Amino acid sequence: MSISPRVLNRRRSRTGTGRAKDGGLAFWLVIPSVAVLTLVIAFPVISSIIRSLFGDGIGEVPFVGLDNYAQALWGYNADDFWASTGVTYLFTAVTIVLETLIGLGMALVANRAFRGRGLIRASVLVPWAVPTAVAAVLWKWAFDPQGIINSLLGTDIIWTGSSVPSMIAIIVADTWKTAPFVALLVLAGLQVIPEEVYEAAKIDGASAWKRFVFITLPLVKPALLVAVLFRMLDALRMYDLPEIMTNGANGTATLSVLVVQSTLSQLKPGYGGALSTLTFLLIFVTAYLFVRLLGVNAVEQAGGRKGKKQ
Amino acid sequence: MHSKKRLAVTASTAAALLIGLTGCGGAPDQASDDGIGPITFASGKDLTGAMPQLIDMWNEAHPDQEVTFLELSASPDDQRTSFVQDFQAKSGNYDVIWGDVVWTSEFAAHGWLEELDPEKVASPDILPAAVESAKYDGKIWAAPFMTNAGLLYYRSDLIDAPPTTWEELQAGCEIAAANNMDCYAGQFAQYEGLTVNVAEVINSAGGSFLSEDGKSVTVDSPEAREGLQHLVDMFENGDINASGITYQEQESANAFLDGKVMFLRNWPYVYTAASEEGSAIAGKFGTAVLPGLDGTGISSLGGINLGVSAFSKNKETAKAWVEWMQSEEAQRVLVSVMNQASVRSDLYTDPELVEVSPYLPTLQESLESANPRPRTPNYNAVSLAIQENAYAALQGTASVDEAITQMAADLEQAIQ
Amino acid sequence: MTIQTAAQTTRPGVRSSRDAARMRRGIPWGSIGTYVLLAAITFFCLAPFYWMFVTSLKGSNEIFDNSLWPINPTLDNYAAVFGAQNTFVFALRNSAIIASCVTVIALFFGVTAAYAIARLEFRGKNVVLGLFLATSMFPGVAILTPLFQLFADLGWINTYQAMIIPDISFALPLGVYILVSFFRAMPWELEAAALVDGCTRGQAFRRIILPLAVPGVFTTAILVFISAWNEFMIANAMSQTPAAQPVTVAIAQFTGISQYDKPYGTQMAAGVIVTIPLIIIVLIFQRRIVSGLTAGGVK
Repeated sequence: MSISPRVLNRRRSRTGTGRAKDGGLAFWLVIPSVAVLTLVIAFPVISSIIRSLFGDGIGEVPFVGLDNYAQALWGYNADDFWASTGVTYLFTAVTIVLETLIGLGMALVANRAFRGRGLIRASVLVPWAVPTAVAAVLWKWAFDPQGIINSLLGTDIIWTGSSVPSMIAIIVADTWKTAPFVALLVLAGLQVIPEEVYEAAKIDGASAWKRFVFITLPLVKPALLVAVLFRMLDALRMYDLPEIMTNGANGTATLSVLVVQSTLSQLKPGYGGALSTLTFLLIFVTAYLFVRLLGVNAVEQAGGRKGKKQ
Repeated sequence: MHSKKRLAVTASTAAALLIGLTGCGGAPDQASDDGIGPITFASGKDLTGAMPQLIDMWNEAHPDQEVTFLELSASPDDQRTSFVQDFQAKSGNYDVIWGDVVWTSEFAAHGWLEELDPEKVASPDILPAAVESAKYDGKIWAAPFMTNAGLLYYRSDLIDAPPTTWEELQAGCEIAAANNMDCYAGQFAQYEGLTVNVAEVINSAGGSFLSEDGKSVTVDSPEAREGLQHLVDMFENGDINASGITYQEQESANAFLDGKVMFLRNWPYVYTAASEEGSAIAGKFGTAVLPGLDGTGISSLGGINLGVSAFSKNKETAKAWVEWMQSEEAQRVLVSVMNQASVRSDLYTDPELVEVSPYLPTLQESLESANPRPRTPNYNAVSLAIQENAYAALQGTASVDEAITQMAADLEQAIQ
Repeated sequence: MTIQTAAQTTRPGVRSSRDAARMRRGIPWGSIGTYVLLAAITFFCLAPFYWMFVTSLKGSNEIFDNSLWPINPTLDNYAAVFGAQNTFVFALRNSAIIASCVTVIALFFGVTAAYAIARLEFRGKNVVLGLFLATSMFPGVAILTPLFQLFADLGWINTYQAMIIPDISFALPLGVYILVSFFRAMPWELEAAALVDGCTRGQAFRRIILPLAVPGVFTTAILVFISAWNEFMIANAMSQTPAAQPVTVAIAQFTGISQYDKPYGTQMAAGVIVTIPLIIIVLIFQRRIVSGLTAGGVK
């Protein structure tokens, strides 16, 4: 059994006149989204980037060029900045691996036929539907030294009192909360796989594992990659869980916690703007590498790679 | 076709909603030239439901200067963010804001508050420590409304008299150990409460963080080291349970209410829960002033100041309202209905009120020596520098000496 | 690929029962394994929620006990959520309005944009895709202050649109990416066939493609609705009065008996109150929309 990606792009076979019309239509279809994003995101982001070139203080603020960036990267706050960068990436890497595996597993099970499938689809939604702030409070008390987790495990760990246990607590909470996100997207991807593909594979005698690796995985890849990509963007901006569970203590202050500390708490929009921009650049580079290395424009190729009996 | 109709319905609903929504703007501002007229009072969440009662009292007497009550989030951080957003947009939506005592300097320094007349809001009836908290640059920027100070709760069934010094506290710890209890609980998680607790031990040992004008750092001293050492020692020898490093007010109060700990540093509010029917320690506890190095300790001052927004359109009414909130009439409601500590010293000895809240005389004693936390426009950066370094020392990841040295450097950076 | 295939792909129910029939040969190890996994996943998802529910039923005396069920169950926490003024009802209404508007508008914008990106050829497509992604890369708090100033200038504080518009923009990037990936996976031969039959492009899209993309559209709708329902930061800044505040802001106003007590039980009760209807709505709509639209699509 082989599923050869269909390299030929159907678009190429279309007529030239169709293509010319496309441009105008596409403009009108895309422009509402672009307009909303410009108003709500692009305008504030640009003003925040400009603000990052100015100093902080009361009254007129001086132009300081890249001083705020220097302060974060190698100046007085460099230790904090790099420690935050490290822990942000650590959280991201661990939670994404866990959430992808668990989410994929959930989706595969939920997509199989058996009684109780409605139950599992509803259960999978629950963690994602609980408001983040409420979930964080739930986990904060669950991980209390006198809390339910220690009581169930029969341990005496002071979860939020030192570095590694704090990180474990945050990772557990995040995985619980967002593995369903991956599951939902993958499940939707699974639902559009034509049954014929499996039929053919079974006739060819492919084992369940082979069917998973050679059929299911390539076919859900677009949905999975979108899920992982957006999980990555969100995980790299993680804020609520460390803020509520540890107040950013024990080395759990993520980049977003630092941004909030300087922008809102300490009213340093210049330095905070610089931190935001640095966070943006880190995420941009990470996402770019991800798309290049793993995705290879997953979205771009998905159309051509649809499984078919050849 | 089914789906087509559905989509059409959806789209028209969306359009109708969009059009409908733009009509829901806020009410137009009513402002008059003389600064008199209706105002909005934005406060933290009203815990007792008594705030409307206070506002009704005012509104009945001043029908043309009605106060509208806006309750914000229960979290002080969220409250402060709301105020700051409003000030930065110069909107004047909030005419009077309710602010933690440590915010006054910052708001005043940014020019967000209206200067108030000391004759009217800082009269001799008002507790001096509360007045201090409303001062910045020698002027008064807010009207003290509620106050607060830390108390030492102790188990009166196990010891005869409360400790007044750390040495006596240590002696109490031996009794606690003999009773299989932890000795001491306070607030040691890394958050604002840790700043409060660390400020208390450092002040009680004679140390300080910043100079009086808030412009230079004074924490790098043997006194500050001795104060912090006191807490570190209690963690090291187990007088404070290791899980104390995660305690905020609630966790520490729970430990005391469950009878697990001999001494508790907390605010007056614990008194009610501890003396309630069904409490494990009802009738078995007492309150005292915090112990110190060589005598009574110094509490950090808490409380709420009322500020008038510089962008308010009805400033005269706003000022009159905050003055009225300090009046005996209003403050009696505060103490008797809201169960909060008044800023008026005469209400601490009022027999009627003392009967309801027997801790009042102790609280007054604690308030007399209470210290506002460092007063600076950069309070949050200062507090973070204190928290992070003190926390490292309590955890044992830094020595007391390293922590104080680093704290001094971080504070230097913070007040710039 | 034939029309036949398309019809089957959208009928998971049909496929499932056949699957199940096939699996019941010999000792059903596969089924047993599936049920074990089912149990594990259900436990993983629901155990914390169960704890939340149990906690919400505990009175203040036992709330910090670790007993796995409430010994003296009480509805005090639920009464506290609704409070004396019942403002939580307004908050639920506000959340429902905001999240519904966001879902409808974001889906409409998202579907059109995704169609263009998936199906039309135009210059700068990759730039547009990249921009959509880039808007999800800034820490949310960085846009809060400039946006508040802008909306305050417009007089939009305490209006629904001050929350709806930002929520739409948070939802769009993810929505567009999901929808593009689904549209790309569609059998577009069907659209071509419909065009030959004299349908306009719009008709072909609505009648043929959209129904086939339902799992993707529906998933997007759930994700968008839930994230709008749970948004806090923007809502907390933009809504100052109970008339405009959504549930997340209302929950943040809960207090215990003092400002130092976190209202743990009340928050858990509120969590249960806002989560359960969401699940029920999703389950009802899931059945309705999937069956309704696909039936229409393959008629």
